[in-house]
Amino acid sequence: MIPAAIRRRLRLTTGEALLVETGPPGERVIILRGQSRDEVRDRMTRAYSWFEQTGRDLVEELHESRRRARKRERDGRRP
Amino acid sequence: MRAAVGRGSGSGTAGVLDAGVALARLDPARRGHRRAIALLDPGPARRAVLHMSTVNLAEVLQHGRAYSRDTGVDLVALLESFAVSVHAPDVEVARRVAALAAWPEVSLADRFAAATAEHLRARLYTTDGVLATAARRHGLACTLL
Repeated sequence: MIPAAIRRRLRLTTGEALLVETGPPGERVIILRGQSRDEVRDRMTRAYSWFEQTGRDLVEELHESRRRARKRERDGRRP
Repeated sequence: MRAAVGRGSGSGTAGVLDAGVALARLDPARRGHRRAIALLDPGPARRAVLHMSTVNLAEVLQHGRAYSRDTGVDLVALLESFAVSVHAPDVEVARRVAALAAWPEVSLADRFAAATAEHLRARLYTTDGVLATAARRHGLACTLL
């Protein structure tokens, strides 16, 4: 059982698979490993459908946010 | 990729990613997605050492919050998997950001992306046409995805 505070600190999510490695013989050390690079990318590929499901366009949302920020800054510079 | 534009700075193999490049990599329907794959994914085509300013990483995390929550994809881990190093701005970058206030058409976040590219003498990669136009106008090597 990993305490909740540690789970939050490590940003572990419910059901997330972790690899457990033991330390040197005789020492009570374990090493937890999160998703490997391949696992992260596999998860991203499976998440392609998220955009269809939600209809979101995160790049356009970023650009819109930038447009608003530019306008605010331009307006702020005016005497 | 588009041809290099600029006065020579950033013509090497280092690249600075604007936030939109990371977000475009997530979305297969997005214009620029294939270019983001070619830029980010490891393999023989991968030539550039890539960086992203902490400020622009914050934009990625902000706009990708719902995506990460719903899909479980950790965007920081994802960028790490693509060997993108996060560049923490120091005083020198802060000075460059302040100097780039002379670019009237860009925001503070735009300026962090541009200043980081200047500082690292790297090419700037962005999905944002306004930033790309401003960067090129001021001689910063830039690719618009």
